[in-house]
Amino acid sequence: MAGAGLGTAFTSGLKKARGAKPPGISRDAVGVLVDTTLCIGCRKCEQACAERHKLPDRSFEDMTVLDRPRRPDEGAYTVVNKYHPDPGASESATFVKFQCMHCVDPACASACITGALSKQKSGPVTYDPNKCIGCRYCMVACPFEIPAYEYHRALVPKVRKCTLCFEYISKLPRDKGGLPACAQVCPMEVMTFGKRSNLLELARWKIKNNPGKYVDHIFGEHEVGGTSWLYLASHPFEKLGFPNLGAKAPPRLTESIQHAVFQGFLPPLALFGILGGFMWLTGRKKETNGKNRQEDDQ
Amino acid sequence: MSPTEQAEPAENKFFTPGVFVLLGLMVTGAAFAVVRFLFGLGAVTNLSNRFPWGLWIGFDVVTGVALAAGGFTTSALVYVFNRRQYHAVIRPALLTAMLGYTFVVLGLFVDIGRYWNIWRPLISWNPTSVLFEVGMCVAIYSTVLYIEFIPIVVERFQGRVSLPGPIGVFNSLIEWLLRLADLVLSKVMFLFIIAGVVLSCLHQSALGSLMLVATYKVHPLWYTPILPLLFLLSAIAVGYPMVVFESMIASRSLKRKAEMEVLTPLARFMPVLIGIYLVFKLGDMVARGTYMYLFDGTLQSNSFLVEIIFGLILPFVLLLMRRVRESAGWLFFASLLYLGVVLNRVNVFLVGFSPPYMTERYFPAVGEIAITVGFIAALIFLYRLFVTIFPVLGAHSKRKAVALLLIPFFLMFWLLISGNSAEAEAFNEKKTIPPAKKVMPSIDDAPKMRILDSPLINKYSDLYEQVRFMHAKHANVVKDCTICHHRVPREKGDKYGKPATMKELTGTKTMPKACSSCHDRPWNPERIHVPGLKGAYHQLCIACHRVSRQKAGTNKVRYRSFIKGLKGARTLVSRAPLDCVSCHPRKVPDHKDLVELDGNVDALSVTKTCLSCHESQGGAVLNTGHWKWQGSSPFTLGNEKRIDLGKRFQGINNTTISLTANWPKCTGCHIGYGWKGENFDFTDMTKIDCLVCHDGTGTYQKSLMQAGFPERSAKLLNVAQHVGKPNRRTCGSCHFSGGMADPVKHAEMNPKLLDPVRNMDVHMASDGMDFRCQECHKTRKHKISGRSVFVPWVEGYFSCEGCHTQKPHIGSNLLAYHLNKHTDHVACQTCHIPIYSKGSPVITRWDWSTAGKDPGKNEPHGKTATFEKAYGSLTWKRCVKPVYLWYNGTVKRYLLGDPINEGGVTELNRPEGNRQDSDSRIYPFKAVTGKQLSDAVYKFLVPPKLWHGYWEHWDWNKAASEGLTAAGLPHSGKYKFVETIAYHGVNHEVLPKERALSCAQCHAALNNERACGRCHKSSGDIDFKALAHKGIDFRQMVKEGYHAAELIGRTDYINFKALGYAGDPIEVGGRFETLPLQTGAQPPPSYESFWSKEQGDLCNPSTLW
Repeated sequence: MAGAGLGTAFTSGLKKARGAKPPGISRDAVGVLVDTTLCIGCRKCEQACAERHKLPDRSFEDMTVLDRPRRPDEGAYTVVNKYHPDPGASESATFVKFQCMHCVDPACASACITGALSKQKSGPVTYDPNKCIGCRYCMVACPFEIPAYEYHRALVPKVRKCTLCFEYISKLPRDKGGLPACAQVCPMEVMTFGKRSNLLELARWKIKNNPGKYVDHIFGEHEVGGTSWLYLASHPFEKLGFPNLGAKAPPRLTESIQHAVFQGFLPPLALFGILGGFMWLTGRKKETNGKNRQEDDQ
Repeated sequence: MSPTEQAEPAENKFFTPGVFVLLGLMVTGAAFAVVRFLFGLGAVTNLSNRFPWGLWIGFDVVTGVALAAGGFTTSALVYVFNRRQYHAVIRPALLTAMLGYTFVVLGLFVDIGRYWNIWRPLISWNPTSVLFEVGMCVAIYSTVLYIEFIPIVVERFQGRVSLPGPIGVFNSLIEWLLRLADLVLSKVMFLFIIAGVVLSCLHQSALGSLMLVATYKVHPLWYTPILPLLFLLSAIAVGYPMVVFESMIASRSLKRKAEMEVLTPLARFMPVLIGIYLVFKLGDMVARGTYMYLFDGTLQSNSFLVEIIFGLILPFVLLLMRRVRESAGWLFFASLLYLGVVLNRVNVFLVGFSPPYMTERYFPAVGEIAITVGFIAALIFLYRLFVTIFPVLGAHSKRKAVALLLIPFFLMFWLLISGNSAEAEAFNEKKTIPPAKKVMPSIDDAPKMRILDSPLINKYSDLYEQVRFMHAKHANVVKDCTICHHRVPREKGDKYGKPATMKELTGTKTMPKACSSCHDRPWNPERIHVPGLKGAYHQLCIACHRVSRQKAGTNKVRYRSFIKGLKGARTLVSRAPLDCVSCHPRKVPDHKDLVELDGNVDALSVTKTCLSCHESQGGAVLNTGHWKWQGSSPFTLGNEKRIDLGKRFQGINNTTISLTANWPKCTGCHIGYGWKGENFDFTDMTKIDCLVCHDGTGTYQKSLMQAGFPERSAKLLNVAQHVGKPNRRTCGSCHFSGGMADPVKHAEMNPKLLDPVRNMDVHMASDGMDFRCQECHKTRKHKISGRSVFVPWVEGYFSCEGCHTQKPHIGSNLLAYHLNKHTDHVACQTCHIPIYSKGSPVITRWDWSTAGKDPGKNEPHGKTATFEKAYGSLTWKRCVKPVYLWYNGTVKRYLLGDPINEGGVTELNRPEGNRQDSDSRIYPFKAVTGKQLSDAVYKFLVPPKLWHGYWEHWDWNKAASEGLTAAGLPHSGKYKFVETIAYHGVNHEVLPKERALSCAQCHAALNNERACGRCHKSSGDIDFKALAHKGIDFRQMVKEGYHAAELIGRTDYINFKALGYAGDPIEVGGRFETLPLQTGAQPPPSYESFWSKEQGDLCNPSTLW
């Protein structure tokens, strides 16, 4: 019975609580447009990222690692993978750089119990290890499987992911190092750094002015509610290692539910009241019955 | 049995064998927990970035919370709905819940990585996080459970508090606290009870919401917006089966009858609650249409079927039957089945969770299972302990069977995803390229070379050195300026422009604009679609300069320079740079802070320090010819398969003769330390001299006679901290002093090349192109390319055509056309290095036979003395005209022990080639003649011991015998001096193009009036005679101080007759084709048939007739 009551409360509450709002970004929020048709797989982006964030030393000259697809992990915030989307065609491979997508409505930030991961209005999703309790819920939530965990560290393990060089882009001028390290070093300028709105315009312009070169889709424009890292490609994205995602942002459902249940704490208090009511009612009935019996006995 | 029957502590023996089993499991679990805290989660679990939550969350926490739902459901039944007849089950359920939630929290503590931060959510929380709700509710509810348990404690100890010994003073305090608790709680307990129910509802449903955020990762069979509701309903429904289960196990282990009088009425609620859950679950499946996944046969669909059929429908049906509810056995079985709600939790969190890049399924590690089992064992242990101490129930439960429950839920199989790497690529053509026209802008207007370096580029990354872009060569090959210069400004200052066409450029006679006029800084928000300069360069160049793989059998290839994979497609001659460092070498990082040397800094300790980071490079050096002084010699006739030819054993020359027996003097130029004799260990990389090549200061100096050790005064630490790329100074420290520290041996390698002017060497000019040796002598794994006539071993080779192509004369003019016709027959060096040893004099004849006598009073002495006691008679020359021979790249060599040419001149190395061989070309050489020691009986050349040998005792016989013994050859005691000749290639001291040989200096025929005029009408703007004489002017050279007087006016630079021609080829015909000016050749009827089609566009026909 309590269950049924709760059920109705849920579904109606859900409908009412669509008003739970996503974090939102400012109009000047930055992003990066990645044109995968330009990437030559030189791995300089990986090298620059590792140098800036003091990640473990490894050889970035070894191109044989591109033969197997890799994932970003706690020692590499970004990786470049090599794909052969069209084996029969007379073309060389397509290279794609993967890293945190800095979603506009990030699942990780919504899920994080302490708010260690939070979405900045300026674009990046930042991580504060001081707040982190290491529960790894962000890793469960991320549709791109990005946050990596330092399972090998016993005392102070951290969640590791691309930071969009937030510490640099927010503090330094653009031409004095205030750029993401990967974009800065890339020889081919695969990555264009700028305002997300400008980048979407640029991506549409590229598609329009190069008919047939690009698949007519900007990955990240709408996927999971939009991401700050946008991609253009000359092949369907599923063939290039991108997950198949819809436009629904993961946090919207859970936030609606949470919002419904805790809107002013009404539903819990209501339930408390109802149960209290039952307890009093059934208690009184028993008392009355008991008294009646006593009276009868007398 | 009255519902108000009092509970009391159990009286069974505590330490049964089962308890010891529990203890064992607890200890094992604790051990693994210690490992987890000492070495991290990775040491104990199979958790990964794909599967961040595993057994501990999916089972310990989530399932634990579900199974402890008995607490609030019985609480609600007994207190909220006042069904006092079930009172007997309250306390055990409460104890189960309390212990269960305690262990959930402990389980969490073990699982989360930063457990010491577990209090954080209290002060910094994220209200949108479901986990926050779960955490807070669980924390508060655990507190409520503890509070609900206090009355039991009070009941047990009130009036009976007696603490042992000295702490007995607190007895009365504790009694008072207990009485206070009793008083307060009996009034307000109902609040806690209701709160407990509310909190339970909240977090049981919140656990369901947890996985909703992983929208695209949870299988649609379980992913539904009503998942929190389903969790709540299933949790409520599992409360009573759990109570039944505990109660019956306890009864059985205590050998008591099952309390069916309580349990059967309780069981009446079960089908109702299960039924409600079932309706929602199946209804949701129908509403969302996910039943289509049911029979997929995947792990997920099978698990769902098991969960529904055995864990939900079957128990529901069973419990509907009264017979089942009244039979102890059947009720137990049905309740057990419903505990399959555990499977539901595991399904949602683990089985149904599929990350997008999963390679293998998660399966818990031994440590995870051990800790889980340890927790469960501890829970059971504590339950037993509590029921023994406190008045919980008459019965206690031993869950021996629980462990068996775990097994069926680990039915999983590994999934593997493998990537493919099929590969078939061919070069993708960009555009057809129209031929060049003799207009402006044309190839002739293209600047020859551009240094691509800009502070703009370096601002964004400074990893590489500048690029030397051969502009004119690209213009010559591409033939269309607009391929690269693709836009023109519409007006002055326009930085975007419009697309450019050659027609417009040539029509308006506009020169193309430099790249930097539009491409400057990247990501300019106003011109965000224009790449920055660095990006523009790379995008443009790499559009062509990328590796293409050509499949055999496909059509004719365009741009062979980029093809890899097909035999012969990308030859050494035609290859183009395809990787980063081929265009711009890497910059060397500053070693100032990287090199640390303590104490006595000597050569060997420096090497040790280098090797501490660069060990693999050290290993690579051990395989090189510079280290071994021998190597493979594929171009030595008859010895193509040998890998041991070199100075070390078989080499002999006619200047300083041989290394044998003359270490350590000769080995002063070895790239190692301490090669004093035959026993030097060539496998010991700690003896490598890194600094001689990598000295960045220019101060490192090897001592002349110390077998490779440096001068004592060398400041080795400073050198080591400023290492850099090898350059002319480091290579030249040995190679510009060939021949015992004076550059007498080679044709053109002398210290003037350290800092040459353009007229000394056009490539190495300090104020010009400033080439390092490695620009041409490309190095891979310390193997330095370069093929020598003089040295037998080869580690890669190259030629001028590698950069300059086989049509190096760029331009659309007649001269370029004619000169390009020479490249199949005449080597570049022949015309472009007309004289060698411009820098300093060299020895061209060395007669050892006159050595040993003291020099006369009137003999000249000094640096170029023609006689020295130690050496014999020497002939010095400067600015020498080379000798010319046919050469196809192979050499016939004299090796130690070979027979001499009796009665003639022994050739120590002879360039092979002849006029009929199309691989041969005419090359310039320095010829060195001399007289040197040979064995009169054995008739081979002798390697004499000079150092601490002849130069001390002046006895040729002794020197010969010592040397021959060291070489392992016999000695007859009789010696004889014989004539020898050796050749050195002439490759350096390349003159600028305006100082190349002129046509007339070789072709005497062009000195006639009619020469060119036989075909070409002399029109006003072309003076053919002047054209034919345009080249190096020896008169000018003499004025500049070169000793070139005897070369003025020569027209026989190349002795054609000596090369096998009947005369000047212009008159007698070429090697393989008739030439138009040949005697007897008829003038052609029309120009079309004369000129081959491919060349036709290059020339403007109007100059012909």
